[in-house]
Amino acid sequence: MAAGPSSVPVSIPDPRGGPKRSFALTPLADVMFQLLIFFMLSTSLAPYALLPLGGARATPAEQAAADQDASPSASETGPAIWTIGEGNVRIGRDVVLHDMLPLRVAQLQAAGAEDLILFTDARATTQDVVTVLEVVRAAGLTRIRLIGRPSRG
Amino acid sequence: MQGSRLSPPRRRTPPEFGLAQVNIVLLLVLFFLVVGTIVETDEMVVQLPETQELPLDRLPRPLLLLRDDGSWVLDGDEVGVPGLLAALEPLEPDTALNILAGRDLPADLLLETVDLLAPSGRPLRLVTLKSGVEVVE
Repeated sequence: MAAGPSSVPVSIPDPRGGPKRSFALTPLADVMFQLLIFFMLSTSLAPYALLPLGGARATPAEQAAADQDASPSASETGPAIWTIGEGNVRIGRDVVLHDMLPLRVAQLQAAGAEDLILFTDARATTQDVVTVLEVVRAAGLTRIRLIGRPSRG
Repeated sequence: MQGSRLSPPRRRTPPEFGLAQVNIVLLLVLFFLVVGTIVETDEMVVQLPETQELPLDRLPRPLLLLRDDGSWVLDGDEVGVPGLLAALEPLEPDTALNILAGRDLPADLLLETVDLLAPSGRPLRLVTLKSGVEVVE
């Protein structure tokens, strides 16, 4: 009896493809969550605002303009001098609360004063300085000199 | 008996929420990247003075933190006057130095710092918090 041809198994790839593998999203989600936690903990959404304190040197043109403005013919009155205290400002003999400052600034402008010199006393805090500077700048006074007390050192 | 020729019932695949979840988290990450400002731990402790009319801004750099004891911290590193001037040297001359001072800090300390830094000619700005806006940290 002749032996028949040996049967060789032939594997034909399935044209439909094998079982569909799903893409694992868990590691991606883990990384994203870690990034989210990092940014949530390290960032601040506080509404910051920046108050200029001066310090920039004037350009030659600005300096010339300032000198011209400061000439005796240009300024009618001398600079006003205010002293910032804790929760108030001393203007001459008056002690003015912060709520009344816009009115006093308007009076100052009506009197033609353009320069304002601000001193601080021993009890003034940063908040007091900021409050006064904001009111004065909002009124349009820009020629402001802020002078601290002499250093104790 | 002949078997049924009906196709077997299709297995229902459970709905996939992973991709949607990743998308939402990615959007949150982008939100915090765009809106938030990364701050140092020391900087978040300071109770900033409040203003009402100034426009909103992001917390800028370089940022000089004034502590109550008079020491300075520039962007997280404690510095003295020489160190601060050296650190600011590579920056553009018109780059403003931003000062972070607590609202209860004596004004003398703030003004002494301003007096020390003013001769450099660099603009100085004080960081404040706009009041009336809810703070999220």
